[in-house]
Amino acid sequence: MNVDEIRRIAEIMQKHELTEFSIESEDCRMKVRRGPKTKKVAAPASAMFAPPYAGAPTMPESNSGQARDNGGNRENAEADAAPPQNTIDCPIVGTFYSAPSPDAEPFVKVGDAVTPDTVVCIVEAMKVMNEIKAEKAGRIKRVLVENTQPVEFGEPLFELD
Amino acid sequence: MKKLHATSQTILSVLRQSGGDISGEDLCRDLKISRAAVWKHIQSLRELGYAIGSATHRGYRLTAAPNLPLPWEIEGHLETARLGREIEYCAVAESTNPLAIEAAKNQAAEGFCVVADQQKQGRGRLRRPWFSPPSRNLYLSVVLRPPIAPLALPQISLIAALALTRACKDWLPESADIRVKWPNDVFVNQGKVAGILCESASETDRVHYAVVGIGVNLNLKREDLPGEIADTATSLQIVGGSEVDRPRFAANLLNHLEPMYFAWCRDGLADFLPELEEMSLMRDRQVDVETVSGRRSGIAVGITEDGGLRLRNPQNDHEEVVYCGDISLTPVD
Repeated sequence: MNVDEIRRIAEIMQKHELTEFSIESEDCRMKVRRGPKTKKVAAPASAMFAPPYAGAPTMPESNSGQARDNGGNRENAEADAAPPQNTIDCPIVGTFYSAPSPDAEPFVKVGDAVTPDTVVCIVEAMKVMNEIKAEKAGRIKRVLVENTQPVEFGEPLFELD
Repeated sequence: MKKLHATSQTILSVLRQSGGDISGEDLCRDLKISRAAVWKHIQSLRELGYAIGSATHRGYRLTAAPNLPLPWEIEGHLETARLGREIEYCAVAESTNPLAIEAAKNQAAEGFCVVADQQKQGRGRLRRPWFSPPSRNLYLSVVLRPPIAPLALPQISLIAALALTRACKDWLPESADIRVKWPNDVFVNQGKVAGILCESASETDRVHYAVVGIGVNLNLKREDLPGEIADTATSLQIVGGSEVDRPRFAANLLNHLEPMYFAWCRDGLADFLPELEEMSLMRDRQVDVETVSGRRSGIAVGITEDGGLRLRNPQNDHEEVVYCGDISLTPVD
């Protein structure tokens, strides 16, 4: 899979107005999504009330490349050299807050041990402040997003050891 | 304080139902308690603010109830199955949301409410202060446990805001202009009367709890408003001219919220979109949204099925949807 092939996939998706495309071969697995940034990960309302996760978009485990529509027609292919493993992913779309208030200490920092019940951050959307739990035990290896950064459904927030 | 002593409760009901004088002797006989005990219960009711007159040879008479959001006063007006069926009342709370969150973490049932007469640290989003003086307003937090995917949870702000508009409508003259400022404020005649702060905890596929905190300016008078909000805030009494019954308002709000909440859990937001758009403060107006990733501007043209605000760029008709940010409206010419 090279850049030209990825570009061709992006063009095909645009031509046929596809929003999602997955391909899997022996040495590669990738998923491409396109659409306006704010709408990209918003599942249709019907899916939200379906049993959790049915039909909801998920991040591929090996995220070797993805194309984004940057608001215009230009399709961009990015390669992420070291995709994070064993991550805590974001269950909603919103704004990431690492601490309970602007002047408070962050919920967790690199090196902290977490249990499934540890609150690791707040994600705000539509003025709902949503505490996110680790859901697994481990040690924070990397914080993958910046404080107050917009985050999307399924986006990895933290990497654990 | 969760409950009034059962005997005090009975005495209160008897006095209320009779509407006239009840002799201490009758109370002693009916309740099988001593005169001193009757006196003690009357005193505790008086301490809560009930005006109970007493005269020799005539007995006790309830002349006024306090306009306080006391649990048993709210319950008297409730028509709900779950919401408000258990209420914790605080004369003074730091803030009702943390108390409700604490209760939610300790397995409080859905519908559990915390109500305060006054908040010392009333707050909005990002710990911004919410003006919360005693004996005026409603400060209520309700624990919900919606069986939905966390992705849909933020829509609860809109459901609560819409329930608030319906509750406000019941107290105001028809001429009052009641609006929702997406996603969580309610305005009447261009002044802010209510705000909502939701705090929740979720994991990937499940919402543990959502606490919906609601502050409503009920009986604030103009002179109560501190300088920083004097031009932007208002109250139902300022607009409607009469004193709002606080427990009745609280019950009525929960009576509106419960069926809307159940319907939303079951069917989503779609059925509420026409009402939300009709009540929207910014419909067809130019708005600026200050987001962490920059400012977005456009004409507010509606709300999506997942609760986002649709903004249309008037230059190129390109539409985008926002879910976060501080909204400001360009004044109408």
